[in-house]
Amino acid sequence: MFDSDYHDEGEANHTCVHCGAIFWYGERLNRRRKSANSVYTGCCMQGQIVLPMLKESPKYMWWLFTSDHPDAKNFRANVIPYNMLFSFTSLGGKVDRSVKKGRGPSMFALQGENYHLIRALKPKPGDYAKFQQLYMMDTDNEVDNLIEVMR
Amino acid sequence: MSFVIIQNCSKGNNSGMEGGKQKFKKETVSALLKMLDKINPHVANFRIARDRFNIVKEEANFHMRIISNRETDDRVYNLPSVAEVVALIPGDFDDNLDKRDIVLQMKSGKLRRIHECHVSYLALQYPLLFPKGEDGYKLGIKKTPTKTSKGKKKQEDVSMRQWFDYRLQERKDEKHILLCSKRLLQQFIVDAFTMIESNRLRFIKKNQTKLRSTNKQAVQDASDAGGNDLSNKGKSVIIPPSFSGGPAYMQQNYLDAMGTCKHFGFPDLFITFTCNPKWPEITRFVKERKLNAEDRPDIICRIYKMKLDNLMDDITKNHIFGKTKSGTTLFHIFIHIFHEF
Repeated sequence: MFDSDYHDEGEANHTCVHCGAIFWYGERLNRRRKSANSVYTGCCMQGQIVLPMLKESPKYMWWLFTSDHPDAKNFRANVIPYNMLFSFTSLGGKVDRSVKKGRGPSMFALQGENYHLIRALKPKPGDYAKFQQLYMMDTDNEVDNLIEVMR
Repeated sequence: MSFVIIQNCSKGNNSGMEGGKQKFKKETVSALLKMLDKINPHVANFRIARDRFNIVKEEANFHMRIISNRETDDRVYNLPSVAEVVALIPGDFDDNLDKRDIVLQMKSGKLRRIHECHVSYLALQYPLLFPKGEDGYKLGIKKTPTKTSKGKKKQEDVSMRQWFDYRLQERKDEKHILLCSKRLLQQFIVDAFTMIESNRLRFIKKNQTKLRSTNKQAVQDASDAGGNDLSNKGKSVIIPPSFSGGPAYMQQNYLDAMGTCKHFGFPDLFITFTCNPKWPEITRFVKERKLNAEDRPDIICRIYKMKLDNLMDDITKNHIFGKTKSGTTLFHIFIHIFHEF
């Protein structure tokens, strides 16, 4: 009645004719038909959405995300704290830490309404500079200041 | 898309050390800072603001405005220049400007919330993903009319969901770090989901009269009449069943499921279809890109959808169980087999 072999979807070697996004053949519109120039949705609404392509990222970022160098590996292991170090705004959602880190991918859930917050240009007297305020500090010990804040 | 991101971030962890390892490498931090200093327009503007303050010292009363809408064509340009993103204005701010702009006062203890439709919303939160301050979603990006869309009266502007749909696709000629950024991509996707959700909720909140919520409210009141009187406490917002995941949506799906049971009798099979991240298609795809399966939640979802569609085809078109009637939710399928006696 049906073959018991594993039905493999193959490779993502089809592209949207309008925007060039890659697709699997199994994702085509009108799955019942087998046609050579199949239509794919889910990317640009068949050419209706045209946005500028993202420009190539700096070489250093590629190096950090792909290299086997210990520094790059350290960066990848802590990519979210690293991003937080340089971000101008902070995440306002409630972070659910009830699931303990263990074997397998550790789960992190965000609850409630999420929003991004930004601070005033300078910190309150006696307060530490945070997020974008750090860019307003003196340059001499900037790297140390940045790292210190995250401690 | 997944609601869950994986992260071992520990901002509350005061040691800065994790398992004996140094979390931040000084060389990496200074190299990243140097890079952002060179190419990021927002960093450049904060530097300019700092220098200005250092010259005129504390008496100065400035505010800084991060501009939310630019006049450039958003279908062509997405790299803002330093002068475009920010305005430094002396004195206190006045109210007659775009309310989505971010206004930063000199000193104020209050945190300011940023509107999701601000063009730099993503660039400000993810400086490592968008080091050049690339534009995010903004209101009023026009769609391009095509053959298929002609003659149809549809929305003219690109919606936030469509914008992210476009961005989260892999293209051969687009060499951007976003889809290789592992955990940061997961955070980005969750953030994107919440952006779309709060945007939709805001629409619902502001369009209660169009949604005929008054009628609904009356029905609700009548059905709740037996309980405590809560109707005069504040103004409630009715979330219509078209909002996925909302209470009315759940209620409607539940009733639909019960309705089919009433008509056809109890289902013969109840199938829960789950995803295995070790499926060969996923493994091959991520291996080619030197990633792990959890680094590409979008791909997992897409393969899952294909497999689910295949299963449904096997049941409903190839009739592997015989003639059936079946319904499906995201993971659950219930099947009524018509027995021929």
